Amino acid sequence: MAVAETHMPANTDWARLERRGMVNRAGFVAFILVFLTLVSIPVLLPYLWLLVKSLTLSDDKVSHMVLWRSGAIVAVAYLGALGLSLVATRMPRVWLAWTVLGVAITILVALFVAPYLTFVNYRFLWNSDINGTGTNRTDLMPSVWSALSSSLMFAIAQTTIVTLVATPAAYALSRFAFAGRETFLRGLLILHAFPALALTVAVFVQLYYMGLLNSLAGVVLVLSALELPYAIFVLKGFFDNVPWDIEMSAVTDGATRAQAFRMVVLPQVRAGLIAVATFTFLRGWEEYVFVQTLLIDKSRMTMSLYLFFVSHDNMGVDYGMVAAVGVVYLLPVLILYTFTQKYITQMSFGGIKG
Amino acid sequence: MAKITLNNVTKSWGETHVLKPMNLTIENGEFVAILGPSGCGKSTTLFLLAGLYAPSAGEITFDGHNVGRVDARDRNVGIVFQSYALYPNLTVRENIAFPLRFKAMDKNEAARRVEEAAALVQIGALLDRRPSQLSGGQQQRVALARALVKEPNILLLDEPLSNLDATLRITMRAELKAIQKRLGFTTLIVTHDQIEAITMADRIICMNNGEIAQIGTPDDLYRRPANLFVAGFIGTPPMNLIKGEAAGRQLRLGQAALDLSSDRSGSLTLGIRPEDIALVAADKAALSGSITAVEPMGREVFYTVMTPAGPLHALEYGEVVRHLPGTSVGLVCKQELTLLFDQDGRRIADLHVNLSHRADTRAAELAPAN
Ligand SMILES: Nc1ncnc2c1ncn2[C@@H]1O[C@H](COP(=O)(O)OP(=O)(O)OP(=O)(O)O)[C@@H](O)[C@H]1O
Ligand SMILES: [Mg+2]
Repeated sequence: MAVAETHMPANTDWARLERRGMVNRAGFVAFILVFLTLVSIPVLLPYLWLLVKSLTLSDDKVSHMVLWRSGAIVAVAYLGALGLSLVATRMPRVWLAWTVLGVAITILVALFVAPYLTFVNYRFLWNSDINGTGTNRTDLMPSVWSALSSSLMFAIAQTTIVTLVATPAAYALSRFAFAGRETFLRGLLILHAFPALALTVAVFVQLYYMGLLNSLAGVVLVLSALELPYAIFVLKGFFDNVPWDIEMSAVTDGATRAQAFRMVVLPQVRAGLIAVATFTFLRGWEEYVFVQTLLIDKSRMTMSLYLFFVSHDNMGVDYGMVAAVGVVYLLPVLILYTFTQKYITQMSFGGIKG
Repeated sequence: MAKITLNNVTKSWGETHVLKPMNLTIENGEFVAILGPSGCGKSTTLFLLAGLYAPSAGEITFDGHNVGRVDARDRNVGIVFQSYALYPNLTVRENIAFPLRFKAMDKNEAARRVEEAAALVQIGALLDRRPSQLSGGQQQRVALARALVKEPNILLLDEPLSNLDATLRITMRAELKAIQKRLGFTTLIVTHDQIEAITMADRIICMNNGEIAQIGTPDDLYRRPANLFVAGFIGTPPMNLIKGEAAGRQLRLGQAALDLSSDRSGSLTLGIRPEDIALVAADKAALSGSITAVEPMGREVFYTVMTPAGPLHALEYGEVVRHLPGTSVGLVCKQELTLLFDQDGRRIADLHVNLSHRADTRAAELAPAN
């Protein structure tokens, strides 16, 4: 009895301890939520601005007002969703609550924001005479559709080249011991660490002599070469995680090395391939510096160049339109991510293994 | 169903010599276990047979044909890896059917064979699951079915039961042996578990440090170990091994001296299995000591006895503790069960020490010397 008392005084106030435990737990959750919210605001605010700006006329007063109002609505929606998800497990018909919130937000938007919205800023989508001045820049300015398709082709070509070359390279590095393998891996890392911009002039001269200046193919080759080390490195990590036994098992089961690779190894690195392909695609999609330097006469334009072009008007910048182009530029990325984020989240980096 | 021979086969990676020249014949349909400590080259030997590694020197033959240049895929060897190596992207059915994809085989025939192999290892109900949805024991059965489905000439099993619980292990042991006897593949099983090797195999290869220490029947290895390594490695609890000096008919072990069965000189090591020692009254034995530890282990009791020759372990069958710590006891052992090893660790056949009951000693003295 005497021993027990030294550990646990008889007059312990269990109720107080319980209350303290609950406060601590609630405080922790609250802290996490506030922290994440604060971090997200500066990240998400520009996108809200972009969306709102692209949908309002360039009247400063109106657009400010719409910005504030939509900011407020987003805040309401966010807080509502947060509150709902906190109590979701304890509520009977959760979907009903979500529907109510959705309807409420829609009504708010319809009442306070919708009347001021316009699609005029998106006129470049159907009319390349964007300034409405008859002939003005139409000759210079290609249609946004051709820019979009150039960008798409550019990114897809780069993705194809990089994955097709990186996959066998990464597999070889992961599976076969050969002289200089270590050095090769270190080299890959260093290549990736170098600032690619330092190469601009060298690449320019090289492409000039190869006759690839001004052609999209030239830029694709350059960027593929720059992206390869990183892709190889990441993919090697995925191949390292495929057990040797499994491949050898396939070989004793009668498969050739190539069949074993295709039927057993490749399906296991699918997530890695998709992740690498997505990142390569995005790098191609957002590329600006090299297309700007290497496509001198701008007869072919990518979306990044198009955006730049729209924002450098000597008649004064039309922010509404710049924002609208920005939104169009973002949309494909958003679509791509919704399909591939499941795989990208599985990506991890192993260290260099010997 | 093939006879396997290894002629002076070695394997090294650069400067690491993993297998010393190895000679071995395994008869058609034989069930052979490879036993040895971790890193002694057991898996390497299997992979050499499967063709996953190329030997650095020497030749491997199946039924007299040198298979050195034959690809792994053409050797018709079934292998169960220690990790099972199931294909995670395929269902159990597809896993088992995988080897048949590379044989020109009618679809229905293949499906029938898969069902058959699955039934053999009793996983017929799991065919549409993925490997990740199976327990360790079930995965092991799938791996076995996959190895059996192509009707291999040789079945190689790399510690196939190591991840199973004790009960399942005993069941699978019996099942494996039954399947092997029924289908008659030449089978090699690598294991860390002596009981596994002793209960399943016709012959055991005991390896140490990339060398074959001994090949023989379980009884050979247990009763007639060729050297100190095998003597110490086989048997749990391990054999008592005591170093001593022989001179004439006497073997000096620490403070004790025992009679040898014939003249000898030089360093010797005496080996006696704990279970061969009987504890008797102290004055009835040539060697006696006092008990320092008593460990009841269920159906047997494990004693540690401090003798003038050094500490010795003895195992007595029965649940009853018959001697308490501190008691003086005598240790006796049948003469033919005492083993002696020379300086290089090789067992000397027909040399024993006399550790008999005192009454017997006199009888031996009275008998005419030969
Ligand atoms: N690729 C390799 N390169 C160099 N050494 C190797 C290689 N593979 C195996 N070894 C070495 O060969 C020795 C034998 O390996 P092996 O895998 O055959 O051991 P094992 O008897 O199967 O051991 P375990 O019981 O732990 O599985 C080990 O010392 C190991 O370090
Ligand atoms: Mg092994």
